[in-house]
Parts: sequence; structure tokens; C-alpha cells
Amino acid sequence: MGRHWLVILATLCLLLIVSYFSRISFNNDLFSSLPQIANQGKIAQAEQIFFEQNQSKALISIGGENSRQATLLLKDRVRDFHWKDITESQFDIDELAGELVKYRAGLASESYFEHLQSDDSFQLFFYEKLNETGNPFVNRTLESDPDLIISEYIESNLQNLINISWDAGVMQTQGQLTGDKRHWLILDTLVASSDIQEAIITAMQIEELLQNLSNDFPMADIRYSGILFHTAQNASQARTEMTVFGGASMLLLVLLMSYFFRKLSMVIWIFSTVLIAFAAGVVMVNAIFGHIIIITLVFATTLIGISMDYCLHTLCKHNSRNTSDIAHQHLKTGLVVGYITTGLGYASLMLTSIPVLHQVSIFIITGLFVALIVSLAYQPVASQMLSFTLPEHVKTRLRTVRRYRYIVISAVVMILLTGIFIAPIQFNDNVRILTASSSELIKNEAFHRGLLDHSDNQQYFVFAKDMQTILLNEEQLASSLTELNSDIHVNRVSSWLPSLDKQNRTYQRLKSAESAGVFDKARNLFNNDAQTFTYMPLTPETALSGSLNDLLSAKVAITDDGVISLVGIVGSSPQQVLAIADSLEIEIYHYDKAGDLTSAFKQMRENLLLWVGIAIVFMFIILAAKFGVQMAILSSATVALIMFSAIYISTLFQGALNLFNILSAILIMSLAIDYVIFFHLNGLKTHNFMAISLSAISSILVFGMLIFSATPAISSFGLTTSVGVLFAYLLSLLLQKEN
Amino acid sequence: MSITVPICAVDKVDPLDLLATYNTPIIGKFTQKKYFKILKKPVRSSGIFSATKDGFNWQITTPVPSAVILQGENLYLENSRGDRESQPNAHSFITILKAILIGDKSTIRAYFDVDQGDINTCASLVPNLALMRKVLTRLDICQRTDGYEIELFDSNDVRTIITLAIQSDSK
Repeated sequence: MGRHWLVILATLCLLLIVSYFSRISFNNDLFSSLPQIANQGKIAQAEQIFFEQNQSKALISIGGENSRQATLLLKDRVRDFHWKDITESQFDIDELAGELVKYRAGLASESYFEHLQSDDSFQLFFYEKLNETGNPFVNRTLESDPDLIISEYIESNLQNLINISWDAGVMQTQGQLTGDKRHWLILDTLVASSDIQEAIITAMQIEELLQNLSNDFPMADIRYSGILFHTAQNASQARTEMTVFGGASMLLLVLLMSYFFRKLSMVIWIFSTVLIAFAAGVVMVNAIFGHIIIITLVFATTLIGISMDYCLHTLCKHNSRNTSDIAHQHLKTGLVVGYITTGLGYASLMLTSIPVLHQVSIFIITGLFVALIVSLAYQPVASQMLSFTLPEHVKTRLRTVRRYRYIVISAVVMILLTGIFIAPIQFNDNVRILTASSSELIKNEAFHRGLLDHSDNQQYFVFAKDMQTILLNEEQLASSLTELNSDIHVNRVSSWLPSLDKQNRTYQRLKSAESAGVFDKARNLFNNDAQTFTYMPLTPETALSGSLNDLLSAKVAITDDGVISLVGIVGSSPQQVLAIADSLEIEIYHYDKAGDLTSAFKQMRENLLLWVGIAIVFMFIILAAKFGVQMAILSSATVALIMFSAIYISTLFQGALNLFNILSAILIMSLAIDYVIFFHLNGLKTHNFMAISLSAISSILVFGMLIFSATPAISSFGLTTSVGVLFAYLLSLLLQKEN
Repeated sequence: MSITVPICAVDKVDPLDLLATYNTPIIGKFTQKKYFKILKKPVRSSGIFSATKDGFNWQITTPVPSAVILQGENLYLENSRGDRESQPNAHSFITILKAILIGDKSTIRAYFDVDQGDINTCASLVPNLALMRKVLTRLDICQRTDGYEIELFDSNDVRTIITLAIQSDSK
């Protein structure tokens, strides 16, 4: 058995041992693929907590003809599953009122106190409420709350849910412009974020239910949205792409290699090396990050093309007639320098704040390292490699190219400059480039957001050491804002669960109204002596474990470091809110994920352009140290030109560019430098020409596959890289070794 | 000897056929009595109403003036001081009252399962959503010579009787 087989076997054993101890787990949590923009741990933690609370929810809205009946039928059908209908649990008047009456002495709303000016004014209010036709809150609470505190409390709080109302127990919204009514069903499917398969199955079950409902109610307009569907769509898309792109790349490469290396053991060796490199990547990423994001594997299919390059150089070299020590040394130098430059290129992905790219970086660097070790351990075996020599007239032509290198480079520069003048490069930094979600789902998402959120609604995280401080802070903030402008609306936990301080003040106000006889006239209408106020505060523990939990749990989170609440404010600018919070010494963060991500992408892209410049300088230093200054200047300029050409050509196909086009430019640099080094070291020698040509073909095949990805980020990456490899191949010929 | 009676398919009568078709605007007077078992006396109120296809006005005149106004899809409450505010959550019952008056059976069926009442001139309506049945167990509509009598049975033992007297111009 050859030494290289032993290395493969040893690596395989090592991988099996490591993977046995660190169980491989996959993850398609979209949150983990998004850039981590918050520097402070607690903001990142708040984002994660509130994201997770929503990740299993499915939002379904039905408009058009018979929308209520369609919603009721759907409510009926979902009972067969173990999902929770949040809209139903939030509007269980019976349960909600039944629980809150116990705490009535501390829960009166501000609007309630407006009626406590005298016994007459309260009696007027009392009669008015009792005479309201079909008021369910009064009927439910009158017996245990004769002063109608809780019915007014629930009504005023439900009124505060902007845009949302209840149509006899069914959640309803009304379009702000069109006035169209839609009925809603919000399901918590209880799918864990890590359970990708369950997310896919659940999304399919819901889609099937909605399809059947659409057949039963053809005139109803049924739409759905929610993170669950994004997770399912992206996970199944990533799986399909990984299988199709990986499988197709492997198949094409097997055919290509079998054609050139006509010995089965050599083809098996190449693919064993590629597979073991891939396995090493998987194991290392899992060991470092604890899980593998599925989209990482789509990017990682590029390892097939790059790791194969090392095998090709090794095999072509060993099949050539020149097997001297110097030739071997050249091969080793080329491979090692190539690994360092490619590794540096991928290592630069660690400079971004995108977790997926961190995983891609570790994956490729590890995989390539294994491929390098296996290639260096290769022991020549007799082979029947395709006897191929470059025809002399072709060689002469290619050599002529070298003579015109300055003219060619100048011409390419001129063409690019003219192109940029005519059609300047534009950028698109929208975070949507990271998702493969269908356009329909994205459209529904925006449509639902427009119905549920006020267009002016801004969200904030409020932080405090304990729950009572959070509630007090919210109350102070809301009071200061509404003092400035009574139209400002603050959607907060404390409107349902007032602080103990507020509850105590409410009780004192009610007691003094009771002492003044405000309630006497109304209380005389009862058969029995009406109950006087007994103070029992509503504590957070009680509220969060009872029927208020469904209303509050999405707005508040208790962590090891304290409490975080999510507050929505309409009618005030973030600057105003932050200034007031600052004056009240409230710790607050304006949460605008989409806006933050877009600016983070823009900043990352600009930073990357700077890093590209720095990387070129590093490359220059390495090349100058190894091959001299003149070669270093020429190589660096050529590589920079290759990168720029790839970026510009991408803009012609793609339109506006994004962060991922720039990221691929870094990869191109690392691949192009390999071609430049090998052409510089070995010129047009057949083995070298063949190795580089096969490398280029395999890389273009593998990266080219990614162009067909449904995720714009992957597609952009594939386009720029494959165009870049083509340019790298063509332009590196200019730097071939002089004959 | 036995006589075999052939079983014929008989068309089931729609209990909601008791709803008459009036000319709009439908104008009339109402009285409402609410029986709370914990109150010494029932709570009585009365007022006037007017219904068209696009709107509904339910105006309590005694003992405390107030109004519920439905304009298109928007619902407002007007209190004794004349302040008017949007009240989307009170929408459902007013929608049903309006549907009874204008004879809109499909809207009624969107909220209730409909059955024949104890007597022929009545229909018995049960909310079709379990959640609502926890609040309102049944609603009976009975035909009267000048309109309808509606009786609401609340799950908290609150009984409401509404008598609607429609003016002859609308008939």
C-alpha cells in the first residue's frame, strides 16, 4: 500500500474518532446566518431571545368572501395537530377576566379614573356600561367586580392593540388604505429551531391545509408568513442545492478525471482525497461551532474544485518525465505557497461578522490542509495518463502572448475603465440576498407587517436588573412621551402588568374615591352588600404563569443578567425616545434589524474593499520574498486586474453587486496567485499546463454550479468566482516562465 | 295488517325565513331589558335605530343617552357627553343586529349555527366558535307583528331581551 493511502486511512480514522466524540449536528436557524451586528452581548442576547420566540410561529390571514367562515373551518382543522392557536388563547375573555378580577384594586386604567369625579358621574358611567348591547366584559365581571374596573381595564388594553380587533373571538385587521378586513389565525407550531426536518414537515402540513381551504373557499384570499416558512424553504433549498451541485460537480469531475487519468486507482485517489478533505471540514466546523449551518455546505461545495487542484498538480507532475528533486521541490513550493495564499483568502472571511462565512472559512482551510498533506504524501505509481502534448504551434502562440503582456494588460485596463464610465458599478446591500425564500413568501411577509404594525412603529429593547425596574421604566417613559404629545402610543408590558408601585397608587386612589362615596349610588343597585376593595397585587410571577402569559411572553424575557422588554412606540422619532430615555437613565436600544443589517452589509463591503487592498500588499511581500520585486509587481498588478475584471463582468450579468461579489474577489485572488506561481515556476511544460488547465476547468465547473443557486448571495459568489477563475487562467499565461 | 307509509324527501325549512325584507332605511324603536341576578332590578333602556345596507345607528335615549354608529366598516361609540371614539371590538354584535334587520342571512350564518326555535316563529342561534360560546351561549330571534324579539343567554346567567319595533314606513 502506498504512503498516500496510509495517510488517507490515518486521517479517516482520526476523523471518525473526533466525530464520534462531537456529534455532528446541522442547523438552519436563519438568525445564525445573519450578521451579528450588536457588539454588546446583552443586545445580541435580546435579539436571539425575541427571534426564538417567533421562530416557530405561522401567521395566516384570510380576506375576501366568507373570510370568517374560512377562518373558523381552518381553526377547526388545525385542532387535529398539536399546534397552539395563539389568537384564541389571547382572547379568552372568560379566563382573562376571571383571573384579573382578583387583582382589581390595583388595575384601574387611567380612563376609568375620569368617571370617579362624583357619585353621579360614576352612576352615569355604570348605567352606560350596563346598557351597552352585547358587551361581554361587563356581563362576565359584574358579579365579582361590581365597580366595572376590570371590564374597562381589558377594553382599554385591547383598544391599545393598534390595527387589531376581535370579530366575535376571531382576530381581525382592517387595511389602513383599502379598509379591507382580514381574519387571522396565528399558530405556535412549537417546532424547535434546531429541528429542521420538523420545520419542513410542519410547513408542508400547513401549506396543504391552506391549499385544501382554498379549494373549499375559492373566493377567499389566503396568505401565510412567518419565520417557520422561511426556515423550511431555505433548508430544503439548501439541501437540494447541496445535493444537486455537489453531485453534479462530482459526476462531471469523475468523467473529466477518468478521461485524463486512465487508471481507476488514480481517480479513486483523487476523489478519496476530496471526500476526506470535505469530511475534515465538516468535523472541524462542528467541533469549533457545535453545529453546521446548512448554507455553509452549499458554499463549501467549492472545496471539491480547490482541493482537486492539489491532486492534479501532484499527479501531472509525477506523470511527467521530469521527476528530479528540483522538480519535486518546485511542486512542494508551489503547493505550500498556493495553500498559504488560498488559506489567507478564506481566512479573510473571518473578518466579517457573518457566522456562515466564519464556518466556510474554517471548513475550506481545514479541508485544504488535509488535501495538501495527502497530496504531499503521494508516492508515484505507474499510470496510463492520457498522453498529451501541447502542439508546437499552440505553444509558440501562447509564448507570443507573454511578449505582449504589457499591451494586453493595458488593453484590459482601458476596456474596463471605458466600461465603468459607460455603466458605473452599483451596489445592493439589502439583507434579502441571504435568503432563498420565495418571492411570494417575502411579499406576504411585507403585506402582513403592513397590516399588523403601524407604519410608524419603532421597536426598542429596555434593559433592567429586575422586572419591577423594567415596569417602572416603561411607565416613566410612556408618561414622559405622552406628556409631550398625547398622540404618542407606547405598546408595553406594563399596560397589562403595572408595576407594584403603580398598582399601590391605583389602590390608594380607589380607596379615597370609595371613602368619598363615589361608588355608593351604583353599589346600592345590588342585592347584596357590594364588595369593598381588597388590595392584592398582580405580581409578574402570577401574570406570566397565568392567562396573561400569552399576551406578555412575546414582550418580555428574563435572563441571568436581568430582564429585557420589547416596547413598540408609535408617533415619536427614535432620537426623541432615546433622548428621553437617557434623561430618565433608562437603558434602551433602538431595534431596527433590517436597517441595521443593511448598514452592516454596506460597512462590511466597504471594509472588505480595504482588506482587498491590504491583502494585495501582503501578496506582494510574499511574492517579492520568494520570486523578486519585478515578478511581485507584475503578479500583483495582474491579480488585481483579474479581480477587478471579474467584479465588473459580474455587474454586467447581475446588475447591482453585493457583499458576496467582493468576498469572492478575495477568493479569486488566492486562486489566481496559484496559477501565476505555477506558470511562473514551470511555464508551458505539458504537466504544468495540464494541471493548471484541469484545475481551472474543475474550479469553473464547481463555482459555476453555484450561479444556479436560488440564494442571491450564493449565486453572486459563484458568478464572480467562476468568471474570475477564467480570467485568472487566461491572464496568468501572460506571466509564464520564459522558455 | 300493516300500512307502509312512503317516506318522502321534505325540503327543510330555513329557520331564518322568519326574517322579513323591509325597505331601507329601516327605522324603529327598541327596548332592552338586562337581567343580572345580582342586581335588584333589571336594567332597562330604550331608544331608536335606523339601518341601511351601509350603516347602522343604535341610539339609546334613556336612561343615559349614548349611541353606537356603524359607518361602512368603522364602528364608533358616542357617550353621554357626546364624545365619539372608534370601538372595533364592539363590532360583532352590532353587525348581527344590523343583519337581522336587513335580513342578511349569510352574515348571521358566519357567526352562528342556526336552528329552529321552540316555536315556529323563532330561530335559535348558537355561536359557531367555542370561544364565543364561553361568553354567549344562545341567541333566540322571534317574529312579532311589528318586528322582532331577541333574547340573549349569557354564560354568566345574564339574560337580555331586546324588542325591536319597526316603523310601518319600512314595511
